[in-house]
Amino acid sequence: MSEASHMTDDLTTVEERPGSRALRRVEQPRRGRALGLLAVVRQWFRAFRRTRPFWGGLWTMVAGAEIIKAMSFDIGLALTGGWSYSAGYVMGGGLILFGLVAWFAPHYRGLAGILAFLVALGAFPAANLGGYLFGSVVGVVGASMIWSWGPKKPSRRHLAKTTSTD
Amino acid sequence: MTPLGWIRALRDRRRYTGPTVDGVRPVRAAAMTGIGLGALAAMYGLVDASVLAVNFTTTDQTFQIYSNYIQGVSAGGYIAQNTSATVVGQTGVAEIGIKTAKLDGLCAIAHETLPAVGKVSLIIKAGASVSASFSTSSGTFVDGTGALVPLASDGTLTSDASTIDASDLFLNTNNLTGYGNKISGLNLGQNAPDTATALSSGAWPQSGANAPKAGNFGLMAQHLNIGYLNGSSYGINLAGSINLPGLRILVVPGDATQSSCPTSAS
Repeated sequence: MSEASHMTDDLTTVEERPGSRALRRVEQPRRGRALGLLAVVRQWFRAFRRTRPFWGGLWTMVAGAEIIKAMSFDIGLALTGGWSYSAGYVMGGGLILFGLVAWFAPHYRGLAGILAFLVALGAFPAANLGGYLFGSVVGVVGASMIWSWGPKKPSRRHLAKTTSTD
Repeated sequence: MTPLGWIRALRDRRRYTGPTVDGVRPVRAAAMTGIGLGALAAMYGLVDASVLAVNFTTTDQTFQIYSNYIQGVSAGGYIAQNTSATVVGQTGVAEIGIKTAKLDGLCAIAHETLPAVGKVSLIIKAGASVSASFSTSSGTFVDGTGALVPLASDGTLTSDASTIDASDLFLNTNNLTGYGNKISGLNLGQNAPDTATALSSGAWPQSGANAPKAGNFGLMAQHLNIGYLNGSSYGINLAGSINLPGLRILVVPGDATQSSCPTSAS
């Protein structure tokens, strides 16, 4: 067995003083593996983000969470207390649901965007002024971003970038 | 060429046939956002003009409520334990319900700590401007502009454009101060469940508190007029109909107090 592979496989046989040259040599491949994994995750996330209305869905979910927070009642009370107490969960939950649809079923983004738009508007009279206005405003912006997502003419910067890499 | 033909030709000329990327199409997004914000502004205007009633219900957030004058007809109340999910250590609250209420000005202040932003205060105001400080030693009440609250000689509130009308108004409070200007038909020590007869629904909503228990302390009043109301509330239930003329919602940095009520008035 070569010295390099010996040191990589069996840490106990090398001197483990912090900062020692031997330990640094052992850590190098591990750091490389971690960076490689990070790069894979980043690549996956970039692909995920670019193939669906990611930001619109995120804003819609933030709006839904804010509306629920503004009317955060005990779940038992929300179930038994009628519309006054359940409105936050229904409207906010609806926005979170449409945000998730935009993420995981982007094919339905047109319908999800329009429904999220209507729910965000409906939350204003129904759920504490739409989570003190914040939820309704962010919901409208997020829903518009979901609805308007689709194929578009690339920007000049984008075209220049793709031409230079080709 | 017909006008329709011109439009078609223009559309075809503008149609892009080159390579595409997926993303938010800005013109469409801006148009839809504009329509949505316009609709929100319109609804805000309708609430402001007392045309659209809103559902406003809170239980877990502590609000400080201020009003120059509240006139309640047929009111009931009882003592209960607060069962609010997030309020820990809170033991007793008074559940107060008013069948029909008129308010001269409403100012509600809630505090919240937001990540990155820090402490902010949410101020909700409606109706007349609320006075910056209350002195409950005399029976005269002025609003935030220094004008006298329009009261008839018998202590009833004279309605004007800025009067807030509410039906089935419920408060869940642990600290309430004010000047009892006119209280009639008061019945203290009523059996708690019987106080529900004062309400138009005939039953208490479960607004974050336990239901009234037989034998618990309750009170009922035919008229409950309180000047300079200052209450700390765990819950407001305005699920009945309420108009909020001159509605303003403000978020200000730091800890807002009653002195912010008139200064930030419209």
